[in-house]
Amino acid sequence: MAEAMFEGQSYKETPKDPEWFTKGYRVLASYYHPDNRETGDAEKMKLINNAHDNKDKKVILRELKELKKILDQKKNAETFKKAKRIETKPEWKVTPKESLKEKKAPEIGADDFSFAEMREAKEKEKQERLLKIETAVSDFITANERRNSLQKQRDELDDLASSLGIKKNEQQIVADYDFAHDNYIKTLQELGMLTGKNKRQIEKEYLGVDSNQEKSREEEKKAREMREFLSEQSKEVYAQVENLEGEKSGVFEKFGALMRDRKFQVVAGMAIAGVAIIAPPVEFIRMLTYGVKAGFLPVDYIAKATSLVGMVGGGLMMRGITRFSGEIKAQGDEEIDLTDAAKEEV
Amino acid sequence: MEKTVTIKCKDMIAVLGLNNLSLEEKDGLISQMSEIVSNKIILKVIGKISGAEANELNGYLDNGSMDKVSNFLNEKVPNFSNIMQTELSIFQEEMIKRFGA
Repeated sequence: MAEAMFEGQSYKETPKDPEWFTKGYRVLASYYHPDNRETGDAEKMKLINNAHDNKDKKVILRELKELKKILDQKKNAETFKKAKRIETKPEWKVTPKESLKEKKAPEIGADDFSFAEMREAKEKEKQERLLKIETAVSDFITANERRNSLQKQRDELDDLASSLGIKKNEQQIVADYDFAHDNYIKTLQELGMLTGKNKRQIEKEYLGVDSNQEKSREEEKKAREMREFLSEQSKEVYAQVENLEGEKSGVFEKFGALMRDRKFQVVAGMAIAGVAIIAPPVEFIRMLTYGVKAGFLPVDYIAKATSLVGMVGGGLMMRGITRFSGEIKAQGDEEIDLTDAAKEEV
Repeated sequence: MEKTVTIKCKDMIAVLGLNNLSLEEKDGLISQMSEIVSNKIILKVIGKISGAEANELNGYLDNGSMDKVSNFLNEKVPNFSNIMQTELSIFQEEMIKRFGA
């Protein structure tokens, strides 16, 4: 209204419309009338009425210009408000946050959710995704470093094994044995031979293990006491040896060395193993026989295998035998075919 | 001799009620017992021969003449078997007395 009156003119100029005074008064009266809740002003109304009655053009013109300024300010404020996109929150049925999560379109009518919050949620989700990627990359780098480190250690062990004269195929034999042993135990378990009330008996017969822990502890205590006693006995024997004459002392040492020569124990062990081994499964014996003849199961591993199927004495002595089997072979003795003895038992 | 000693020492494990020990522990005890009994038997044998005979035996042992060592023992220590059995029995009795089940 007031703007229309000054359209195309400077506010400082007097409106060209001859009826501007009457029209201006009406505009001011409608704006400042006390009935108007938002802009009503009784004093302004009185001032305007007086100016109209006295045909005071200056006052009306001044008030019009002032009103124009007020209206301009309001207009700018509205424009600024729009520019800032300050808006009322929509009523969401499906909020944008839910829509992101459930992959469906947002719908008016659900809980309030501003676009700012939606942007924040998206940003948060993006950050979380980035974090996940960073973590995965970091984990991969760590795993790779560990793998390289393990590979390096394995190479070092291989080098060490070669420097000690351990051939790779021997290492493979150990691995094969461990695999076969695990498989054997697994088979026993699958057949139900290592479960339930038979477990202890089977373990004792096939593995030489008694699961009676309480009893074992008592025996360990007794074994400790025995070791101490035997150690004392040994000291007494060597005290007597120190008192021997020169020649006799020499005999003791040489004779003792001869008696401790494990070739004697091999013979003894063979005899004991021969009577102590209980009949193992036929397939197992066949495997041992084949293994020895083919050369992939040396005596050392036969002893381990025997400990699985033999009684305690058998396994024990066989291990004693194999410990020195290398010496026997080195001395050119005949190779002992343990499987023949075992076969005879079967 | 070693054969007999080892078998007897192995029997001791069962007699002393140590069947639940691990194989390593049994192995260790048997070795320890066998060594002591063997040494005691050797000491007894040496006690039966003179210095000159000890020299002679030294020579056989140096040469590794096992047949001669065997013949020597049969000749000079005719009761070798008894000595061995006696020492074993003494040792077994002592062990059973101390650690019997």
